[in-house]
Amino acid sequence: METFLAALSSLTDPGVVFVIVVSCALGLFVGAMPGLTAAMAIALLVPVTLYMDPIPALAMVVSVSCMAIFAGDIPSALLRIPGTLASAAYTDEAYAMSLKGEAELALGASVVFSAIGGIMGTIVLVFAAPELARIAIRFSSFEYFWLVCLGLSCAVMVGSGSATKSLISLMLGLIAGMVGMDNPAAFPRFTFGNINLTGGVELIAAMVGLFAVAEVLRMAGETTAQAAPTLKPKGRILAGQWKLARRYPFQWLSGSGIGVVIGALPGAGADIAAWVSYAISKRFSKTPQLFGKGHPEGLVAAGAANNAAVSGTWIPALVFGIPGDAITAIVIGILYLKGLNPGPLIFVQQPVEMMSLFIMFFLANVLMIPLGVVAIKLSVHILRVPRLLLMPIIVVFCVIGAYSITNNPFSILVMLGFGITGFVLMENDFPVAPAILGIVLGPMLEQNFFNSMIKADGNFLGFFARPVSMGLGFLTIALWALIISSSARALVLKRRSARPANSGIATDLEDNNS
Amino acid sequence: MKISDRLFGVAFLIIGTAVAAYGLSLPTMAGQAYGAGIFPTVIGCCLALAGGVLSAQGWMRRKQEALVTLEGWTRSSQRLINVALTVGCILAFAIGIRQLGFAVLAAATITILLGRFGQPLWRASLVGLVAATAFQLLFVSVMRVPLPPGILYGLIY
Repeated sequence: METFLAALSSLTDPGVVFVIVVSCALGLFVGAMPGLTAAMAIALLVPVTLYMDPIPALAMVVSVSCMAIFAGDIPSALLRIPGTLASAAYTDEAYAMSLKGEAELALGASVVFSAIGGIMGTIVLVFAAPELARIAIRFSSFEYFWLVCLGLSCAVMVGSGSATKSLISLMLGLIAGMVGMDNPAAFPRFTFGNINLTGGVELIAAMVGLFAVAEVLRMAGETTAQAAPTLKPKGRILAGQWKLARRYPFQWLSGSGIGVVIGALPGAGADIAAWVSYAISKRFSKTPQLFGKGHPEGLVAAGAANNAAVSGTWIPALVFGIPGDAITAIVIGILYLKGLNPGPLIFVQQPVEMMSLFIMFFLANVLMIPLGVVAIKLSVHILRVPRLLLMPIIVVFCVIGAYSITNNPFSILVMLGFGITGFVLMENDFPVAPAILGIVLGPMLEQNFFNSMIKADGNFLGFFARPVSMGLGFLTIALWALIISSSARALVLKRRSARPANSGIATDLEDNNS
Repeated sequence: MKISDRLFGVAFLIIGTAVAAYGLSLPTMAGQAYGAGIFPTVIGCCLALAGGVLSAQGWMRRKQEALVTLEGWTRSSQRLINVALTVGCILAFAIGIRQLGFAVLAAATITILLGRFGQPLWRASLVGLVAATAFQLLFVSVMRVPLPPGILYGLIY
């Protein structure tokens, strides 16, 4: 109770309240602007959080990420362009509703069920994270090694895009994470004689590069003109939402559950949660034929799922230091900078900060409804802000972000290098989230491997000697087998379908059938 | 610009092999059979393998996919200049932030890029000046981020 009151009093500090209000507005703006992502906003906020106390810094990150994921639905419904990737799953549905004259119902459902999903996700976070920490406190380097392996494998398996490209992205991240002397043997690797690289690749500079600079370069080379909204919400935004909640209880409940679970899987965040939840709600719907034609059922499920995933991603990030998605990968960097080292002991060592974080999640999701309604009302004006004109300001923010961590111009070069690499990879459909996970988890994987090998006196069977470690080990190996077998099957199927098409048999068959 | 999976695959195969070879060249720790080289070796092998698979997958689609397809920004000289200018501005920060200072480069970057994106010069330079001053005040004066003053040292301090 004392911790709760202490956390509450720190959050009611006028300075913190101001930070929360500004960050909520920023999150809504960033989310509503197509091309500006939640991860990019968090990466750009790093220099701002650097000189803040931990609680306002966490409040800022939570407010921005929760609001941005919801606000991504606004351009989905009005322009048919998802504001963030998390809204892509139901963009067509929301836009079809707007075309039917139900823009306010679609946007109302977005804001209400995002808030409900967010709150449900937070409830799971509040109860699951400390419980998981209680179990994790008994973990040794063997279990951590397998956990990291499991996390990296999940990133390859459930990530967007092809498994091979995800694996390559992950390997590139792991190689970047190996640079420098910060390895158990303390041997300088991949430094090419450059003294600036002996400390390794600066994590924040790499993140700013991959998420912000890469996007900025994409904006600079954009081919399409910015669309102006022609549809606009007119009536009461929250009208009819209670009816929707009563009509689709399974959808928002299952959406929230799926969101938290997928969020908690490393590498998969709000976007994958929304896709999976939308697909599942369609699969179990009584009226699947209405999906895609302006039916709110999928919107309710996926809208709840993506915001529930935001909370879910924090579970492995806080308990194990394993990021649940790209946003929490940056958050882990911020947590270390603030002295809040993630791990099972964080709930014992930093109880006030953790309680503040939980309260902040509830607060952000509750505030989402009134602020979201205001943002929806202002959406026509927000969507008219020329994106390209924001770009030079974002460039300067990126530079501050990279430079302020080390006060070394070399970090700007690192950021630029990662930005160009991310830009080229994204242009060619390589997902960047696994690379981030590789950079963050690579050193952790190696450290735990070495510690375990020394403990087991070089015997690899030591990794299977403890019951939990053995379970995690077999689970990881099973996951690898699943990834390899499903990739091989997909390859064979593709080959089979490609062969008749090449020989012209497929066209003949089609002709015969018709 | 779309680069085919065949090319990417071969590139990653080469990079992976180089990383693995580098890993094998690293010494082991005293009294242990492994050292700093084990991870680069394993990761390099995995990357080379994944590169090989990607290349094979691309090879199977070789009839539908050109080696390099110029599209989007690479087909328009104007957009190519936009991308190059953005990279150039960031590079200018990396090279000259200590000598010229953050504020000067921020003002110049915003002016150049806004001008490039179609704003009149007077408006671009006005926004550049105001934004650079705002950044300087917010980050240096309020948040105490030590951004280098450069040639404006006398004016700022």
